[in-house]
Amino acid sequence: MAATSKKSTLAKRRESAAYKVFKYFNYLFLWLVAACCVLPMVHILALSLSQRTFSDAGLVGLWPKGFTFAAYEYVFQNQMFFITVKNSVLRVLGGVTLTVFVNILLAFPMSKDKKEFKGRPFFLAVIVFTMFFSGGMVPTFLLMKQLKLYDTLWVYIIPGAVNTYYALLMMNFFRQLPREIEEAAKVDGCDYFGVLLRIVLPLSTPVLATIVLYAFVGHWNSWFDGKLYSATSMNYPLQTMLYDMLQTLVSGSMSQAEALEKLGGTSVSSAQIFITMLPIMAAYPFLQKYFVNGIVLGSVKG
Amino acid sequence: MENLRVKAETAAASPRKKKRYFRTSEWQLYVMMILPIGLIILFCYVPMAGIRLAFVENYYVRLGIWGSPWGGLKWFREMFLIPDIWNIMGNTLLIASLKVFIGFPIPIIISLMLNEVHSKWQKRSIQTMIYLPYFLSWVVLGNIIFQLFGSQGSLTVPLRQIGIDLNIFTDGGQFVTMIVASDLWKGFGFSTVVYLASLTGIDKGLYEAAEIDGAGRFKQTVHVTLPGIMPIVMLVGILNLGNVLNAGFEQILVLYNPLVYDRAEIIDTIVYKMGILQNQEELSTAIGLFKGVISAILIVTVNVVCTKVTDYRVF
Repeated sequence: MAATSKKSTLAKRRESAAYKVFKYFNYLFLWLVAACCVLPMVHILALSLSQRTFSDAGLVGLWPKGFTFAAYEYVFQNQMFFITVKNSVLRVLGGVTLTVFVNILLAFPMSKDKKEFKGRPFFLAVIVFTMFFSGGMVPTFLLMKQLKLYDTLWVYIIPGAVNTYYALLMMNFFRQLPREIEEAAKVDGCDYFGVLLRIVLPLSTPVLATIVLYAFVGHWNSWFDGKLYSATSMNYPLQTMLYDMLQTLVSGSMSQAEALEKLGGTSVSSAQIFITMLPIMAAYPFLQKYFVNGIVLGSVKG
Repeated sequence: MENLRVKAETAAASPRKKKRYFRTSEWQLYVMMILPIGLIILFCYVPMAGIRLAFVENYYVRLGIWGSPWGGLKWFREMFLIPDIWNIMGNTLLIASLKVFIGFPIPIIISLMLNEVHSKWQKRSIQTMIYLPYFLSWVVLGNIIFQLFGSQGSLTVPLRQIGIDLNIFTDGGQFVTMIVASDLWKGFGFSTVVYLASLTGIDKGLYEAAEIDGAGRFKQTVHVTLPGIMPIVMLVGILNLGNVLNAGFEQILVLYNPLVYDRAEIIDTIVYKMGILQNQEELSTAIGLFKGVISAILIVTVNVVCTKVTDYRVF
């Protein structure tokens, strides 16, 4: 700490005129860049809270014009919307739980070294190979049909439950835990299940939180599996419905005015976009902290 | 606690006893692995066996992947007869390499700029804001981009009034630019995380020493900061090269439309279209396999290079 403050006082004294100019430009530029990342979302929120006449005419900037919740009321009257929200919530709850559970079961044995767990090199090879190569879309698709997972909600949860990246992240974390505690517990008569439940997991809340948030974002944001594995929109997650909405707009099959009419206007489509990002925004303070954590953990070599 | 330590010491003192203990409970580790390994075999390795689909004469649903007659490399020959195939490969390479080469230096520059922000709250706020697009899906971002830059978009209309005519959803060239730019928009902020983490690891003493030797802020950046983050820069750079075939399937699928197919169709999108939408399972699997093998070779190569050049290890 002392070194830092000393450095900054030194820096202040030595700041040249050129550096001062640079500094102001630097602040200005970075704030502009940051604005580009946030203002589009603010604009969407403003559109969703505006009266349709203003939003369709392109008169809304960053602040709602003719403030109204009409667009949200319109969205909430749509039964399809509730079905897709329900699907999304179910897949997040089920998917996060299963992913965390399965990856703990994978990561804990893999965190042991070869002497303790003789199968480790073999299993490691089995796991790592899947990171480099996969069967591809069609064989996987046909398998889902064969397993009767197609057009069910299970297809979102089960096939992707094991995630090599999460498992390796957790494995790296488990390996950093002090060996001694575990040894002591074992000597006291704990078996591996006991060690995992009573020693390792209680010490691993940071990595567990990281994985929960990764899985949450992954499940909430995923939409292509909904498109691929659903016969009808009844099993769509919210994001897949939003994809269909965008397709009506960009596909060019109707004029944009017609497409907008079909969707209920700019305010309504903006309200749907905003609702779809809302859970991410709500979790954002945690996301930022733990995702950064995950990057740092991921770079810890085992 | 004292008791535990004594026990641990006695256990450590008699290795044979310890060994026998491990032998008796190691089976539990295998039991834990049953579920995850079962899932990996079912959902990763069974589809891998399914690539036989690329080598059948014809796929008969009734006979299944394994019952359909063997056809050798028929579908790989067929692949090169697709009229647009070279165009599609060119698109893939162009979009992916633009993303790699533009997406690589910008996060480094932004990190260095953030490093010069000495006000803590401003630095934190800027970071919080630039990470945001990373956490949103391409569907959400695609909708936002359309709202801003569609033909009646919130930014298109005012820009048209001042003489800038944007047609990013209908003009092929503009579309590719938009794909690269929006990919940058989504990813650059979060990509700074690794660099910022390594910037905090640079020894403060080096800056002081440089300052005493008369180096200004700029020279400090060149002679202390840059060499300090060089290993991670190289690592990320090499790893990025593994992506030169990944043009961004979800992003393009979300944003493109028939008007820009000639510039935006990529290998991944025709694999989807042919295999799922047009029932050409064999051809689609062959194309997917072709890309998958090249990708795998690339990724393994860059990982091997990384372990050789730096002290990086994934596992």
